[in-house]
This record gives sequence, structure tokens and C-alpha cells, in this order.
Amino acid sequence: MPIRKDQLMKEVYLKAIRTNLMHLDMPRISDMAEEVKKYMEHSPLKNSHFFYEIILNSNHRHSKKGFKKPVVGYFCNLIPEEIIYAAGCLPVRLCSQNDTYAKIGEEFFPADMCPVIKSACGAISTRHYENIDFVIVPAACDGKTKLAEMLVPFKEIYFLDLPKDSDYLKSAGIWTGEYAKFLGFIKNRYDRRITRKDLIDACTLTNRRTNIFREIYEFRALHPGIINAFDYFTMTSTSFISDAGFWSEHSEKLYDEAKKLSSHNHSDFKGKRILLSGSSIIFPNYKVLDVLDELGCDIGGDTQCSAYGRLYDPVEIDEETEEGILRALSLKYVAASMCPCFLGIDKFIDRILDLIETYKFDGVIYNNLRLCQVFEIQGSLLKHVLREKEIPFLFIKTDLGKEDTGQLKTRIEAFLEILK
Amino acid sequence: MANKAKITAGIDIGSVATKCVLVKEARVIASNLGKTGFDVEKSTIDIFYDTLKKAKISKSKIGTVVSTGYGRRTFKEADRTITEVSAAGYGAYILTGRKNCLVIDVGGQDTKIININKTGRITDFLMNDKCAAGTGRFLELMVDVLETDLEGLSNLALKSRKPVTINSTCSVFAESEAVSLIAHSVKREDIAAGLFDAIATRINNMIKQAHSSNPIVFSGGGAKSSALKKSLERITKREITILDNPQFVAAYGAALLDSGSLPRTS
Repeated sequence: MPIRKDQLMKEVYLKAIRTNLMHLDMPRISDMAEEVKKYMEHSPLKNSHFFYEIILNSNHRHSKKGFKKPVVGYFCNLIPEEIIYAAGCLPVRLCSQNDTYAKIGEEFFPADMCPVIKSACGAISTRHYENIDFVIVPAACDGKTKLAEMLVPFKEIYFLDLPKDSDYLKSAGIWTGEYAKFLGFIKNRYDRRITRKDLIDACTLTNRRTNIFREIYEFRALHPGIINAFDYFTMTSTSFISDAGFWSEHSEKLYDEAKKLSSHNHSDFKGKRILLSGSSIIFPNYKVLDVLDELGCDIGGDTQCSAYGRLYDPVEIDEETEEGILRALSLKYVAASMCPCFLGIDKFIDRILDLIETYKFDGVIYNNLRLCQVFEIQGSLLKHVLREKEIPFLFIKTDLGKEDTGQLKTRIEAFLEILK
Repeated sequence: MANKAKITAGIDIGSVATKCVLVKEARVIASNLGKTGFDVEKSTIDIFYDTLKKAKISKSKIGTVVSTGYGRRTFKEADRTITEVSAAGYGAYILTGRKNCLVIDVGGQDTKIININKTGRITDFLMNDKCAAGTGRFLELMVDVLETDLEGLSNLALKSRKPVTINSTCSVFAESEAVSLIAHSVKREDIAAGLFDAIATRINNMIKQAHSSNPIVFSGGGAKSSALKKSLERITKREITILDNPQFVAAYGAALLDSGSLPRTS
């Protein structure tokens, strides 16, 4: 449902924000250019450069110029991008992990809040996403729910309400209904007819992306050290802001190059292979990746909602009616979701155990972003299960700042030392 | 040559103190301790060569040098480095006579809980993060407030009959709480005992998270305080053994990690 704009709230907010903004240094992506170039040079793959360049140019990409299609922003991996594509728009996922933006977010919102929410607030309130027409916020965690209200002064907001039970049989009807309402909204918003064919075409588009992602995921798990973790998470991070077709095309090229490289020289990778779980990893929050890389260890697989959780599941349409397509979408996004905001921890634990069984990882590192309660609870439950199964497990709690890098390094290094 | 390979040096560069031990056939032949100080590199070199001097051994007689602790990478003469978790864990394992144990290591700026199984493998570990509550730093601050030293603080606490409850777990807030208790004429020994209870409560939370019934052993600079041991025993309701020369456990473990007697090597 669209959230009503309250004029008074808007005025009060904007007044407070304007006072503070006068004293702020706006973060620029160019400040991070050096870091991006470092990762680019570190990569053995020429085709990875394309993805780093998307980041280098992303300031430009977010300005109003140069966009033919309307741009629609959204949060979380619960919003069907396919509906947005079918409406002739470009979906852009706004989940952000930029420490500078998080610090700006803190100026307007409580400091003891999840850094992803603060970062998103900071980015939107400083007009980083000027080109976006409206933003869809799902009822995932409490922070996201309130985010919908907090962003009202800046953007037109559509709130997607979802029940907490992720059981398909109980909730599929409600999900499909919510998606249908959203479809109705976007049709009206842009005064567009969306046919079944438009929806099916959009599903074909995202399924192409899923197919290449699955190939890459498996390839990385079996051939460590070729597509490194920086390349991988840069690919997944740029999928937030890139057209799915365009992204797939370049990912396919990267995959071909990686395959060739692995057939020429057998990987001499000797380090440990880790399954990374927990909170999402989005550029530029690569602190954990930096530490793991320095210690000669590869993230062979992940369950992050910014990577595996976002790109692994396809849309599988049984029945080509509008309702059938929407149901298939809700299966992809909500039923398959491992988001700890919903009931369904078994689903998450089964997937973790399955990934360890399939790819024989040496251990699991659970990365918990400080102040995210649901992820912390999920991690502590996982810990008990893995302990029982004698699978090495490390729980780390950190945030977007870099001040705890040293402590993090000691923990991770000690964990690698105890792996057999 | 054969003789040369038998002596190894373990150097534990902690946030407060740097500890060095020379080990021959699993026995300590010399040990030395000094302040880490501002210039970590220099103080480490000084302490290392002082130890050699003490043992009347030249550098060429040392087979390998293993460094550990937060400054482990700053010591250029080290042949290899190991984290303080592995070092303290292994040191404690050998000192307990190769038995499974749960190690509490209270250092200057971190407290570690390390669970070790029968084979000497670390199965789990926990460290305090981002906060000095429950570490040696907490006690150092309190020593200043009560105008004594660590031993004095410990002795004071042991005399207390009625420890006060310190509500703050934050070191800085606990310090101001202690100051205000002094102003209210609460006995120094009761404040001291309250402070040890506060840190022990904090450590007990970490022990509980380890879910281990292994016998508890105590190491690190914090283990020099018998009052802390007493508080920990009372709060955990478990028996706690202080290891011999507790401050040197990690340095000893580091030296042994290269002696070839390891069940595992990295």
C-alpha cells in the first residue's frame, strides 16, 4: 500500500536535516576509487573490470541524466523485480552498507539502529538516489518497517506487507494477493498495461541471471581462488543497480574467462574454504573479505541475501495465468527466503547443512552486523546445530566501520588455526 | 646442531606486558617479562635479548622464535606467528598434563575463553569484543581509584565480608560508581570485592556461552589475583585452578607449538 505523505512531518524533518546538512561533507564514490582499483588489480580476470567500473561510475548512474527507463527503488530480497521489469522500469535495490552514509543516517535517526538502515537513510536523505521515482519497502524486520515511514519526506513510498510465517501452504494466498496489489499499483502509477507476456518475458530475463549465477556459484565452490571473493561480491553488489540482461551478459563473459583459466592451470589454492553466512555483504563493506583474503582463505560459498539468497532461486511458472505467475514469484522470493525476520529457521539450517555436505567446506563463519537482532538469534541457533555435528563455526559481530579490523583478524586467524 | 634445534623461544606481545620464555624439551629454562610500552618493536627486542642474557645463551643457539599476542607481527626476529588463542590454549593443555580443559585467559585488553578437548584441539573460543569490561584494563582503572596496586586490590577484596554490588559493567561507569561509593564512606575492601564480582560476572557470561563442562583453568595476568579466582569460583559455582606462572602460559604455548610435539600443525 502507498504510504500517505504527512505534510507537517515532512516539513519538520526537512528543516532538521537541512540544518545538519550544511555541516556535512558529502561522501563521493570517487573517494573509494583507489580501493576499487586495488581490488580490480588483485583480480586475475579481465572481465571483472566491468563490474568494478559500474561502481566507479555509480555516482553518475544515480543522477537523473542518462536514464531512458523510469527507475524504481526497493529494499530486501522480497520484492519481485520481475513486476518492475514488466512495467518497463529498472529495479534498483537500495540496501546500502556505506559507513559514511551510516554516519549521516545517525544524524537524523537513532544511533543504536542497524547500520544497513542508517546507511540507506543517509544515502536517500543526501539525495544519492535522485533518479528514483518511488521506493518499495517490505515488512521484513522492524527497522525496515519504520524505514518506510522515515523515508516518506524524501520519496514516494510503497509498503509491501508480508505475514511473518514463511510456510507456503499457510501464506501463499496472502503473498500472491500482496503482489497482485503491487502489480495494480505500478500499472496505475505509470498508466501502463502489463500483459502476461510482459511478466513471462521479465521472468525469462531474471532466470537468465539466475542460470549464470548458479554456474558461477558452483564453479567458485569447486575451483577456489579463481573468481575471488572481491570479484564475486562486486558482481552481486552491482546486480543491485544493473539491468538483469546486461549483468548476465557480462557475467557470462567472466565465467567463460574463469573456465579457460582453470583449464590452463590447475588451481594451486591451498588455503581453507569457508562458507560465509549471516548478514549481507555489499560494497564497500569488504572488511571481512579483506581479512579472509589476507589470511589466504577463500569464501567458497555463502548464504548472504545480497548474493546467494538474491540470485540463486529461479522463477518456476506452473500455470501461465497472471495469478499463476504471481504465485511462482512469491515462491521464489518469500517461500525460499532465508531471511531471519520470518519463521522458518529449519529451512535456513537445512540449506547450510546441504551446502556443507555438497561442497565440503572447512568451516562456517557467521558474520553478524551489530544491532541486527534477528541475524544474531539465527546465528546462535545455527551454532548449536553445527556444534552437535562437529562442524567448525565462528560467530563474528562487527559493523561498517574499520576500527575493529585488528580484533577481527585475531579471531579469524585463530579460527583458521584450529581448522584441521 | 642437534642441541641448537632443541631450544625454542616463545614471545607473547600483549597490550600491557611482553612475556618471553625459552623452552628446552618442554621445560622453561628462562623467562622474562617487561612493559610493552609505546614503542612495541623496541621493547620486544629488549625483552627478548634480556631473556637470552639471563639464560646466558646466544641468539644463534635458538632454533625457532614464535611470536604471539596482539603485537605478534611487529617482532621481526620471529620465525612464525601464532594467535594468542592457539598459544594460550596449547600452553594450558600441556600445563594441565594434556587433559581436556576450559581456559579462562584474562589479559590486559581481552579476555578469552578457550575450550580444549582431550587431544589438545581447540573446539571453540570466545573473546570479548569492542569493550574492555571483564579484562585486566578494568582492574587497572580500579587500582587507580582505590590508590593501590593489583596485589593490594586483591588483598583488600579478600578481607571483605560484605561486597557491594557494582551495577555498571562498563569500565568507565564502574570507575565513577566506585568513586561515588568512596564518597559515601563505603569500606574500600567492600568496593574492591564488588569490583572483582563485577568482572567475574562478566566472565561468567562468556563461560556459559561456551557450553562446556571441562575443568576450568585460569591463565593470563588476571590469574595472578587470588581475589578474582575466588569471585569466579563463587559466581560460576565451579572449581578453578590457577596455572603455574599464569602470565607466561601463552608464551610457553607459543614456544611449544614449534617443538614438534604438536598433535597438529598449521
